[in-house]
Amino acid sequence: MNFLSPMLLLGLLAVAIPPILHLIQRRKPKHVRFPAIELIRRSQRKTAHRFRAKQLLLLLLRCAFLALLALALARPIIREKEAQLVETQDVLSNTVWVLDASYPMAYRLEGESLFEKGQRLVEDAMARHKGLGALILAGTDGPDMGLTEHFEEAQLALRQAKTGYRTDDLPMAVARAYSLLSSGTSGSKRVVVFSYPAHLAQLPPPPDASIECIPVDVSDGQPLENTAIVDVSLTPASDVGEGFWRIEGRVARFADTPIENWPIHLECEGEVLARGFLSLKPGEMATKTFYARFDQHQAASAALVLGEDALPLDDRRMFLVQAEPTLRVLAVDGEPSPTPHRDELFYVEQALSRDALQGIQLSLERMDELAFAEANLNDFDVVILANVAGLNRATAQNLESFLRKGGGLLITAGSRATPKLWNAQLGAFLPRMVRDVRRAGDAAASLTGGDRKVAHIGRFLLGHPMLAPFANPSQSSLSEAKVKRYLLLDPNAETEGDVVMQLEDGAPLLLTRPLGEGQVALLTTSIDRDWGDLPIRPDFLPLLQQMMRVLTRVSAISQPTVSVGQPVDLAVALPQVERVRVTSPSGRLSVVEAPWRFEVTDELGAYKVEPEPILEAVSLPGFAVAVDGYAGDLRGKSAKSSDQAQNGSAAFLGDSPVELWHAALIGLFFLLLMESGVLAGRLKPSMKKNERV
Amino acid sequence: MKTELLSSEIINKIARLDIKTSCFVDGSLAGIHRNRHRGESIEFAQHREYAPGDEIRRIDWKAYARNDRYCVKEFEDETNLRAWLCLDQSGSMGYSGEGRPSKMRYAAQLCAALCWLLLDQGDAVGIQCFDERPRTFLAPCAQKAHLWNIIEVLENLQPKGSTSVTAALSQIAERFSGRGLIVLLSDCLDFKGQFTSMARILRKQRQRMVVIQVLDPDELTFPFQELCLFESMENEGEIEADPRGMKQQYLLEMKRFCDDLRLELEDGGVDFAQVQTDWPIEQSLLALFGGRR
Repeated sequence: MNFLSPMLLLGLLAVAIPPILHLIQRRKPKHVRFPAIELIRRSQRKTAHRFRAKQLLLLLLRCAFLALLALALARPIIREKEAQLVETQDVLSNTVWVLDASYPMAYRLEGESLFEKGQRLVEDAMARHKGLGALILAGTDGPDMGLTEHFEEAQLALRQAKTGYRTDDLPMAVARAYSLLSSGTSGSKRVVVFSYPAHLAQLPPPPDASIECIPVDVSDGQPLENTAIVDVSLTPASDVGEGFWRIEGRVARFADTPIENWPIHLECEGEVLARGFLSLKPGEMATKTFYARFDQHQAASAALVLGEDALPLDDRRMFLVQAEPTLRVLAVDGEPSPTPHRDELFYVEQALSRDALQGIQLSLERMDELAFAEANLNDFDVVILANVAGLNRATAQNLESFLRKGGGLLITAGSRATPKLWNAQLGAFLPRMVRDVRRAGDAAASLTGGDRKVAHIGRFLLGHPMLAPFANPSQSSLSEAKVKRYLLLDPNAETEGDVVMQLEDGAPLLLTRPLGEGQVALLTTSIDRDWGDLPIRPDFLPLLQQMMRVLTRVSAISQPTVSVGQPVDLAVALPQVERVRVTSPSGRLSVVEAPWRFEVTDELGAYKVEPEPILEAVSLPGFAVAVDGYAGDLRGKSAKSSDQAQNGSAAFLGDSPVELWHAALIGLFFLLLMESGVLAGRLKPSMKKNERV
Repeated sequence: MKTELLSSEIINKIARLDIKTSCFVDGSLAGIHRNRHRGESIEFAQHREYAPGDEIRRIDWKAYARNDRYCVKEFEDETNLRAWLCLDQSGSMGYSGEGRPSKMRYAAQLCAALCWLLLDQGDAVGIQCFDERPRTFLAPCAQKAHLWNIIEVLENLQPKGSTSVTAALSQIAERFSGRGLIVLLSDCLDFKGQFTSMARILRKQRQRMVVIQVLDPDELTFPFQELCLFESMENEGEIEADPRGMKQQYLLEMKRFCDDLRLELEDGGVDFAQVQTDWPIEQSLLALFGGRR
């Protein structure tokens, strides 16, 4: 039973009015001096019991009247299907009982979980049923049984069943129930689904009109209030201090009431690191941020924990704290200078400073061309050739090998770049051949009033990963950059790759080209201020950082936790790793190969990922699995259910509520009649007051 | 002397009434009541054989002529009445309903009217007030001026204490042995069994007794509606009761009590009448003694 206006149930307090009035009246008897006191005493002795009983009956009737009036005003309703279910328990029919075993069914209401109540209801229905029947447990790996007249096996499975972690199995289970009933059975067919309102609103309609779907809300329409952690993000917070991380937990309030100062804490390996409080309005989602320092070089399992409520599973969200991926950059300075701002790599060093690159640990090493010839490129992820004159053959071959194994290369132009030498020595990995060095400005520019000596960036390749930080690159400060000199490239190149940025005259400014597993980028102007002012534009920093990320395929830790049942794309970018071993929280081992997708995420907790076989100095990021916090919204969505009702068959329409206030009013009428009867009996003597003895 | 107890209006209304006893009475003055002694009146009673000492003139010679025996004529003698008015002045007699005199006041008015009537027809009247024991006493006297003595006593009565009617009657029985009339005015709510035995003793002394029960209409109709704390007027405690629930039972109990009292008194040869304080005095007197002059 539910109420359409539950606030009016406060009217039940009016039940206290008759007793209060009675007590008030009792305290003030009228004082009368009377001669025939003995006769009064004798009369009272004979009538006191009867009169007291009558008074008590009258009091009860009036209290019941007020209570029933309050109930009628609160408009009690009962679900028609629930009523039908009760009425048709004993009817001979083919019935499939579908019990939702998803994790929200663990919601505890009045001392028992929704699942336990569902178990009770299904067992009761089975005990009364006389026809064919079957049981389907949605959300767990229960036995798949056909229609039968003997329910012993089903009852045993029902008693042993527990809630699972998956939340999306109910529609499939109901579809399976439909198919069971469709296969050649005769007589009435009924699928009874026991779940909570949010899930019941997503049931598929029956395939034909002969099958009736009866959703049963095991919560009896009571409000299912829940607070859940729906997401946790983890980023290094070097601005706070060395080794600090920023943990942002998104917490949602799935209820019509607010919460005030709800406790939340961060724990790592069982130790509480920080505590806090949250206040949420109804339906609100808020972010709670913690800063904490973990062991920098070892993976640790941590969790964000909310104060426990009726559904504890989504009050705890585990995540893995892992060492930052290290981006090792080798920058070759083609034009070093003792004056810092005149150095070719001055702006590169500023842009790739440690604090600027969030989520990635950076090590930048710079050297000149001579030293580069002897460098071991396996120690680096990205090589920047900044205004180098050329490379000898051995170095070029070494660099090509590095690129083909997955390394990244950024080539920038400058005063030392000579087309002929570059084509000869760097041609194997240049995106396009270089034709000439060109000064900006022409007659067209002077005609339109523009600066005849500079060129601006005119086109951007929208959607390219290198431009991901910019929502609209043409409105960024990049479009204001002035380029005075740039390399003119061969227009007829047939190599793969993209032109990420072009100047107004169509000349490419930034190009990319895949090479083996690696990636090459070419900036046709200088990376210092010799050929333009691009490096001093504010958006140069995110551009260069993003270029480093794209060139090495190293990304920040962005998804430390996935939901149960979701596949995980493992971050295995190392060329030397051919297979990985995934260890589940219970110790189950799985081997995964390229394309590095792990799908068996059916346990809650931290999963460890290691190379197979184990390689020294190679650590791979693991992941954690938690329940889908958004499924913690158990409330029914009335609009959705009514839409489904319209689309479904007539049998599916039976979930309409039946109002009971009419019955309450009839009860009120009978109470009034009874009160009148009692009063008439009491008033009878006083009506004869004129009669004398 | 003027009094509220006996106004001229009341006297005018009751002047045409007279009181006669239904039995012989002893008196020293000639009156309207029959005396058991044969006397000189004109009403023939019987013939009696002559005996020495009888006056010769009283011999009925006509009877001697018929019977040849000396017979003496005897006539009924008429004498005056000696009446006692016993008035209950206990606390319960102080009750007065809304707009009505108290039972005490009404009984006093009734007494005064009776006195006037009796004295007017030459009878002797005395008064005995009582509560739990006998109080004011005035010996019977046939002088008309005695009325004012009695009225003075009645004016000064204050209802108090409990009731013991037997003590008052015992005192009357001790002081007065001849025949007469005893009129008892009370609400009779506290009459116990001894009263009946006392009434029998007085009956043997040839005393004619009349009991007048004076009640307020409230005692007969019980008009209370709300919860009341009833307090006794004769120190019998108090009781909290809801009249709505017990009214019917109370009326039943009152009716039963009055019927039992009437039967008991009639068995004891006592005349009984019930009057209410909202009745006019002459109506009450008519109910009591009836008859016209």
